[in-house]
Amino acid sequence: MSDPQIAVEDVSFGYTATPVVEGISFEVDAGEYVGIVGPNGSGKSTLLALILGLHEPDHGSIQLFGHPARSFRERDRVGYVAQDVTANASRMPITVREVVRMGRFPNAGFGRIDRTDKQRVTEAIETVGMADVADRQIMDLSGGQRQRAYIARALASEADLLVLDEPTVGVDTESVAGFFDLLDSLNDDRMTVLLVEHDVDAVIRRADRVLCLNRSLYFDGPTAAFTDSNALSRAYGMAIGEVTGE
Amino acid sequence: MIAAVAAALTIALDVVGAALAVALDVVGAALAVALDVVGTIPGQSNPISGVLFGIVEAWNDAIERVAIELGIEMLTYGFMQQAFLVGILIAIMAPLIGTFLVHRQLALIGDALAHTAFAGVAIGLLVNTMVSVSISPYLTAVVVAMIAALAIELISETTGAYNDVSMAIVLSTGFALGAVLISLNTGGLTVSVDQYLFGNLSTVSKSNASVLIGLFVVIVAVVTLTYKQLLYVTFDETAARVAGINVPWYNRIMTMLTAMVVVGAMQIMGVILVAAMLVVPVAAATQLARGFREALVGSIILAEIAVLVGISLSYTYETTAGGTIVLVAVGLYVLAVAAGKR
Repeated sequence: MSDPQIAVEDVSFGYTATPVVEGISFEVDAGEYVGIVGPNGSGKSTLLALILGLHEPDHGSIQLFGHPARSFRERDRVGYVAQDVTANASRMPITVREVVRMGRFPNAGFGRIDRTDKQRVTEAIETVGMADVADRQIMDLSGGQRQRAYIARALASEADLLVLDEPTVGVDTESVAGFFDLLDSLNDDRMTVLLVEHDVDAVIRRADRVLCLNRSLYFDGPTAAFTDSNALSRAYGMAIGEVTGE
Repeated sequence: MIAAVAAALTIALDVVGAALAVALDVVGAALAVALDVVGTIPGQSNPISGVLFGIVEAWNDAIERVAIELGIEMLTYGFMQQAFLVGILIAIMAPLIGTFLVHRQLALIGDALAHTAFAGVAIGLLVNTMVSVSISPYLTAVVVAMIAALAIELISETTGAYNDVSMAIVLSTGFALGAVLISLNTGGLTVSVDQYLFGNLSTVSKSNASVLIGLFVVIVAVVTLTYKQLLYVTFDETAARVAGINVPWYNRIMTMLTAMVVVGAMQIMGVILVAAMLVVPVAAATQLARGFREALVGSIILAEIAVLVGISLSYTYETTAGGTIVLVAVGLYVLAVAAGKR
């Protein structure tokens, strides 16, 4: 049995004296598709930042691929997709290919991007179905296409673990379905997916396992068991149908 | 297998660390050369300053031959030969840094550092008067601008202030300090302040041109070495951190390089207008470029046009060099907006 890719043990953290997340423990194994849901301000993004090593936990420990997250060096093994950053940096002229190429930067270090790197970039662009727009400016594309480009960046780095923080915010409904189809397909190819998502319904339909968070963990288990539980109503303070829109 | 990969990565990181150390050594060595060139008789102290001075002389000889061959009178003067050399180098290094600054929404940092460089000039003039030494005010300007660059980062990091707030604080403090020191500095020195405020073609000496070549080499070398990291940090700071890039470290590199460009460009642009070279060609190229690399190359081409045309017009019509260059650059920007897709 290999080490879990993510191991979170009794983690608490707060930006002030008040904890944002408290007593969180769970593990994510290779090839899992895990969705994290919870109301606004429940600590979902903070938990992701802790897992990615961007913050030091006040209490507990987090391991990535068997190493402490803060000092984890094999950064090309982790792909990261957040809300559309181009929405903020919309004036920056940059092509899809240039963005995807960033996935090779941790690997290349201070060296040049070589032929192998370029090949990986081309393959990643093709995998997400963006070969025809590879040399177009990223801000000229739709929100859904831009998010695909960020997925391609993670693929270019040959990541084993894909971490996504509310990736569909601001993306049109049609593109959202295609985006989740792409995640399904990557997960079928053994890519581990850890998805923070405001759309509980999408998580229930797509993920194999759900973590329900509101400062502490209300639920950790298979999706089917989650829908049968009352964890969501306890975390959100309402019935599951109200949250998922049923 | 994982242990082997980890070991290989550890070695790779050591190599990266060593490369960074070399880069810092290069910066230190170049600054030492700059200090040497400015503080002593050019070409007399060490082989590197001799080489830099030799490059300036070789450039002057080459331009002189071209001037005689083509009958271009303005290029027969030494100060114009040096002005064109300095201008051409500035038009490469300013957009090279400016492209990253503009797209990080730090366009005004050049302005802030230029105004603190003015305080550095004032300190240099004051020290020269009080201690009877001959230190180039550009040297003190480099030192003060670099301290100011760190101060901007420090204020933002320690107080959580927005970058524009820390820039405004440093800008005001620098210019105020410069103004106070200049007013203390009696003995006719105020007469020479204009050249620092507005730039002056005729004051571009061989020594100053040599220093600029040193700064140019450092800036181009560091940007070439760290281009990928700077681009990642510019585009998406959080993703860059996740990718293991030390974002604060690269922010500091960027501000230090900005300080070098600002002081280098001050000679012909002047404190008031130096920031324009960091921003206007980049803004123009952004209108036309599709990708980042295209924007970077485009901004250098536009900056070269602005500098070459601006210096020529400045000489012909006896106008201030910095102002003329900026007006040409703004003209190019207007044309780019008209021709651009946005």
